[in-house]
Amino acid sequence: MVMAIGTPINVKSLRALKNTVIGNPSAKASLARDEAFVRVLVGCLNEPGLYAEREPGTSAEAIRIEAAHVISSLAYGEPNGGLGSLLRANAHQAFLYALSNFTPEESTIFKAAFTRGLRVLAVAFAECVGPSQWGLKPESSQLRHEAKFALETLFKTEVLDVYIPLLEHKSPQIVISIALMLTSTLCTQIYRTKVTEWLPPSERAKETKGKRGWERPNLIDLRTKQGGGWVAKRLSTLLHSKDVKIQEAALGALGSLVQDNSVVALTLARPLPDKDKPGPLSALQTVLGLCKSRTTDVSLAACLCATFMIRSSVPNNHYPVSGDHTASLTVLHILNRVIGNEAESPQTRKKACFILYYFVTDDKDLCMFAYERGSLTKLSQAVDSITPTDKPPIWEEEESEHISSLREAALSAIAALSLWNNDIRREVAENYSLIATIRASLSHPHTGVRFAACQCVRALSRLVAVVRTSLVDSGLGMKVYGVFLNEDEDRRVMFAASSVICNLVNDFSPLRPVMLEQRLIARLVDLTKSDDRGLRLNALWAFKNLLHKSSSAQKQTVMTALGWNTLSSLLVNPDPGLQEQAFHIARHLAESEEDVETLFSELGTEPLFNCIAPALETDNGDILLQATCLLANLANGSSQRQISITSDRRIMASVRSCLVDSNVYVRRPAASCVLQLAKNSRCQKVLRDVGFDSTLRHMCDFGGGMTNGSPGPLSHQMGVEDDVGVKEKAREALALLEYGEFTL
Amino acid sequence: MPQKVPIRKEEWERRLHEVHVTKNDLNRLIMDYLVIEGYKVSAEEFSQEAGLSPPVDFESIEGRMNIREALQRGDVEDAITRVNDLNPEILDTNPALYFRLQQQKLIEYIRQGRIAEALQFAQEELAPRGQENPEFLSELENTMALLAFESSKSAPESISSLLSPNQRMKTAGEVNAAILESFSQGKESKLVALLKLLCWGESMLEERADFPKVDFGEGPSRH
Repeated sequence: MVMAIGTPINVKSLRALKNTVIGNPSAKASLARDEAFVRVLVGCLNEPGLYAEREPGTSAEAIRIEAAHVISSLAYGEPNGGLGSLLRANAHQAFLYALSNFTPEESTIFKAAFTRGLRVLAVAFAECVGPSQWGLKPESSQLRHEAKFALETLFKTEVLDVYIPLLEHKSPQIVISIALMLTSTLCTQIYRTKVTEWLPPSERAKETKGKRGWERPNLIDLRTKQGGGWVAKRLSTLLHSKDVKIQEAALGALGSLVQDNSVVALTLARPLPDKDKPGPLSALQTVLGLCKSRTTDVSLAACLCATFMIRSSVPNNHYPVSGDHTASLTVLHILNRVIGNEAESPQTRKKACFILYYFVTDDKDLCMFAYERGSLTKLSQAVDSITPTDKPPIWEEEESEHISSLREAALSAIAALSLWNNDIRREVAENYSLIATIRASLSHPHTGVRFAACQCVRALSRLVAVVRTSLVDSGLGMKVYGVFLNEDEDRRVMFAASSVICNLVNDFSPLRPVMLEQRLIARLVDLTKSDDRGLRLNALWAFKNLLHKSSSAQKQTVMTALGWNTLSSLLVNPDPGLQEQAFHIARHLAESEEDVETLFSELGTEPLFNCIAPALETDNGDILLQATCLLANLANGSSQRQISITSDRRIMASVRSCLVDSNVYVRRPAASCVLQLAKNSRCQKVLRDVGFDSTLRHMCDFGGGMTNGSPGPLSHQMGVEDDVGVKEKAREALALLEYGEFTL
Repeated sequence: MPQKVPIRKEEWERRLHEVHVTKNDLNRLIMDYLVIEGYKVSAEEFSQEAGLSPPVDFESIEGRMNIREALQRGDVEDAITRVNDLNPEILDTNPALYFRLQQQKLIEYIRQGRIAEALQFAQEELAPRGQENPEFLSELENTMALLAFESSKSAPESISSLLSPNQRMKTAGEVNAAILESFSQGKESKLVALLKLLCWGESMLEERADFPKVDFGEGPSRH
């Protein structure tokens, strides 16, 4: 017990309690276990008279302040301890209530303590729900649901009305608290949109009335006119503060607001139309100026903010190859310098690595842009500088958290840089010292490091040549396989490892037979039953790749383990991602006539068609494609099987509309399917009855009167096929339907 | 290797005189030093004599000064209480600093000969810190080794130095830096930064020229 039973609750005892728990994880854990007392503490926030005694010379406000400090400190503890009991005691609601009832008489110290309390809790919720901006944090799945619910309440309009206006408070501490809160909590598009669109209640009333009372003005126009929205505008103003802490907090909040938020990003890139200021800078230019701040924390916060602004202000987040690169060069130059500077603290270099990660992630051109400016070299050197020189490196138990985080950050950035480009991949693969470090990192005690190392291998494994050589020779492939087999591994690391396995089970991989001998199929089957959707998806993906170009015997082995019933239920799974993989698996199972026969007999004709028919009618393009490809493979089956396909009118009607309405990737297998069926004389009548002959005729432009103009997308819309391959198949099939009996 | 350019003392001094540093700048440098190091009385007096307003209010300097004094007299509990009054975030967001303070507390127990309390404190408070953060283990081991030597003269330097006043000053300096950083003031006085720049500049110039260097003698150690 941190506070002895029977101790009166007053300013003195609360102060003593505060000084016991601040900084002390075991004291926090002990306090958190006493949930009844935690509820009393929360009660003290708003009703000190009810829960505490007031000693002479002390005020009710002082009791409330000390209680707030104890609660804030508790929120800094282990999530399963302090945060859990605070969630159950509704501490955040108590803080919000107090904030909504702030009076001018209350001291700034009081208001600052309560704002801080709300901020610490909100940040703890966001960290618990994840993902964190700065690498992997320990997971606490039991609290995640509660924390997510609590986080959502912070974005209701009436709740935003309580704390957003505090961004205009005269106390820097209060402003900083709210900005820091936004930095961490604006982690989804929904939350960003809510905050972007937020207006003070007085302005809200005006905006909902258009010139004609029943018209609702276009909110996007309003946002762009108002400098990206009230919050964006306020944060942009705060950038000009002389207080570096305010600058840093405002940059963080603005960056989080702008991430994946193109409307605001584009607005902030434009100069402000402010009548009072001549030649105003855009918010982006102000941020770029702050990138050069001598205060490193401000400089990096500005780099992150600028990164999100740059990435979000281009369509689909895709960076144009031509155009003005000044902004990107500014950011990249600073990041490279910090990453390469061993005199900087590991925490600072770590941030720079993660910012580089955000800068290049999922953008092939930006990856090349950064690579050409030496980012990969800097990252490799950073990794080398913190890696023990033993060969192979041996991890010290006492390695500091900061060094491990730097390693995680640098490897994450290397993985992101090499994900899209073969030249970059090759350079990493040929860097023997880096490969050795990645290999050793796969067994690092820090979860984030193992995760980042798996991501590096995943990037490398996208190149066939690397799969065949470096990943085998260095032992990297089998080391990842070891991670994959470990049932106690962290879920996220497992996901990353399984992504590598998906690439290593392809037919060209020398590791495929080795893994098959070492429990690969059994492990994949286990993962198909996982609670984690990502793992289930990856397991199916791996099966799909494993089955492609494998022997019938191998296919048999896989399906004996996986189960035909499992496949059958996956073909109608409501999750479109899983359903798509199931169809792809079925498609790969049906690679020969013998295999097609197996598929039909194991699944049953009618059940199989009952899966395929709705898939051919779906709006989901990926499922439609795989279902069509499966059907095309099934059409290579025996004559009997071909007849059964044509007997299903629903499927036939769908195939016919695919030929006309779908994109070329679907039309190709659809045309193959029809051609195969048309070669069977016993199917030709049905094909004609369903109307395939007239469809094919239109596709081949044999309808008459439409011979002028070359085929193009417009002509396709009018029923004429523009893809050469499809058109040839259509012609051949039409000829069979019109003229020929093709005897088997 | 190219010959070094010799620069005579007179020439050097002539060049130095050409660089104008205003009295105001010098005063600001001194004021900055006094504020950052926490010399409140000196800062107040200097402020009056030089007619210079301090960059921060004197209460905050006083706060840091009181913490430094508490640590220098070995009262770690008081220091922790004062740090939390000044800014309750600092120790919650800086595990290394909290560990340093708890380590100092253990050292004070040992210095006072309160061995039983030291052992209990080490078991209940410091051992968990070592478990939570393995990087603290080696420091923890050194401190526990103090118990084994019980201020015997045969203790190795790395262990016996824990009992020296320097250790208290080292802890006080780290706490001071953390407080300054939390209030977005510089962690290091500009005077110290200039000294570092001077040393670096001299070493760069040393490669190409012979010139009169500043003699620092055995000046105060900095951390």
